Amino acid sequence: MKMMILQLIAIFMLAILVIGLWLRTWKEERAAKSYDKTFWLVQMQRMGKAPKNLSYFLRKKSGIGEELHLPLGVFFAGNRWTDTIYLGVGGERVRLFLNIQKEEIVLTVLEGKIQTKNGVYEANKREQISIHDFTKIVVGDLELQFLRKKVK
Amino acid sequence: MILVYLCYVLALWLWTVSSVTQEASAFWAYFYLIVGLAVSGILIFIAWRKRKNLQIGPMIALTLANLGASIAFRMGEKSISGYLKDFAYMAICFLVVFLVVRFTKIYRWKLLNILCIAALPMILYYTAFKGAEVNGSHLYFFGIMTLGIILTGYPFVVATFMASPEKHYRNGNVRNLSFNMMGLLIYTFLLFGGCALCNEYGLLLVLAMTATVIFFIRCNNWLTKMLYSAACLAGALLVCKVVSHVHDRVVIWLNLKAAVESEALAEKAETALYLFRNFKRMGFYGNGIGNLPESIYRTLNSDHVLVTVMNDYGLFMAIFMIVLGAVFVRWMLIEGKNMNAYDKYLNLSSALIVGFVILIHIASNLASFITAGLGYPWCSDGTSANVMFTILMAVHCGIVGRRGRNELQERYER
Repeated sequence: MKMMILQLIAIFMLAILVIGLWLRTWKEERAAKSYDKTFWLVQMQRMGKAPKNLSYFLRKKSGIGEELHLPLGVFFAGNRWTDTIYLGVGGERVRLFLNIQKEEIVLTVLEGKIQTKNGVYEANKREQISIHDFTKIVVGDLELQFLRKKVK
Repeated sequence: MILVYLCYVLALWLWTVSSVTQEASAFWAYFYLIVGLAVSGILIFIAWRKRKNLQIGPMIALTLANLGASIAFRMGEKSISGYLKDFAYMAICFLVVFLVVRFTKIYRWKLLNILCIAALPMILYYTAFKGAEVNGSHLYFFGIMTLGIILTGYPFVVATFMASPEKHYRNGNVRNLSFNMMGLLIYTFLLFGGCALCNEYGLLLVLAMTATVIFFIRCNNWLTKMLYSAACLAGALLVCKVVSHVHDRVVIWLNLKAAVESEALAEKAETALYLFRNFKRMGFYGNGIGNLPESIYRTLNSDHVLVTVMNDYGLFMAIFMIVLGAVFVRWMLIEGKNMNAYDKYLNLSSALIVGFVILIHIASNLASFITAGLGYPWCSDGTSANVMFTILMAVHCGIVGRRGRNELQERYER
């Protein structure tokens, strides 16, 4: 009888402990989701040889790899100095429209062409390409990887 | 919460000591252990009263350790004294690792990570060729189980490979497998070779499952994924065919009736058979502590600890034990505020390792999978494995417990 009571107490206490810990984990999981602020990280890697011109020399940049943090909003990216995001690719004019959203980036090719996993996209102002986390696109000899990040 | 925990500790202790009679030395070892577990709970509660997210994991570990202590007491003086020593090691390791990860960046040093990458295969191959043989397996590296060493080091290896920037791809095509992913796969296959030589297939299974999840998250190429899956399947089939004891376990798992009727397998199938025959008798409240026969379950305090809990402590305790394991993995998967790529992969691979060990243990204990020889965290006897789980938990606590802004945030704000 005594053992039975002790067993019941142990099981009852363990049950409360398990429920309490489970609820606390659930609460922490929700809190971890709510305090985050999303932004996108763009990792750019040059696949070919880096240019050795004056601008790269002056800015002390290797021209091989760059990282860029994009908050939510709308940006133009291209290979002219007038573009908000400068892509160091030579050759034909490239101009992209980036709509940075919380879950995805909506990309439109305004000028030039880009390559993704699904194929090559030519300039088409009406076409919207969805870019998700870990998506890679290739512009000229530049490879861009989009990573979704969250910070407080 | 702390009061409930203390009540549970006291009730379980009283229930165990009134059910099992042991020598005075075993009684006192169990008493000191229970005092240590209770004091640890109070310290954790006080130290992290404002950081409640850090309390969850250690509290789960302590709750499971109480059950482990009770099972160790049931086994006798040697077992409970060993668990008392293990508890001291675990406490020291937790404190040291937590402080290192929480306050320093030493664990991210490239040199240390490269040393870790080099050391793991060397340890495995050294154990395979020079280590002492136990029942046909080479499991110990200078007295420490290789399983514990490899599984402690592997998350750091994964984080090192995965957090390094992807610069090169196979055939120069970005859609192909990146060189760092390829490096991790080759490295893991090197470890598989070591595991096979050591005859340590439980470790191989956990490594394979962890590497597969990481690989499927990171790899973009479907063809590579298919080839990898085919290679894994072929490897598993080859092991089942070539390695006799794995083949026997597979036969027992898939066709218990044939295994029982076979002369060669009848003895090995006894554990699964006992479970099926006595499942109803176990009931929600169990048969009493010390009821499970040691003659059938030779590893009842390590590889078959879930069956011991089901039989001796009842189904309720077993269910709560499984739920606690699930909650622990879920807690480990919660990402902290200031985690960079290295920390994220370190955390993810640690959580995957703990999760897979728990999953394999449950499945093999319930005869839903082959007997894999893996213990349940903190409930099973085994210094190396328990210290390994404690270190992985301390790493998570250290990463999540870090305050202040991270590098990414500072750059973003600039």
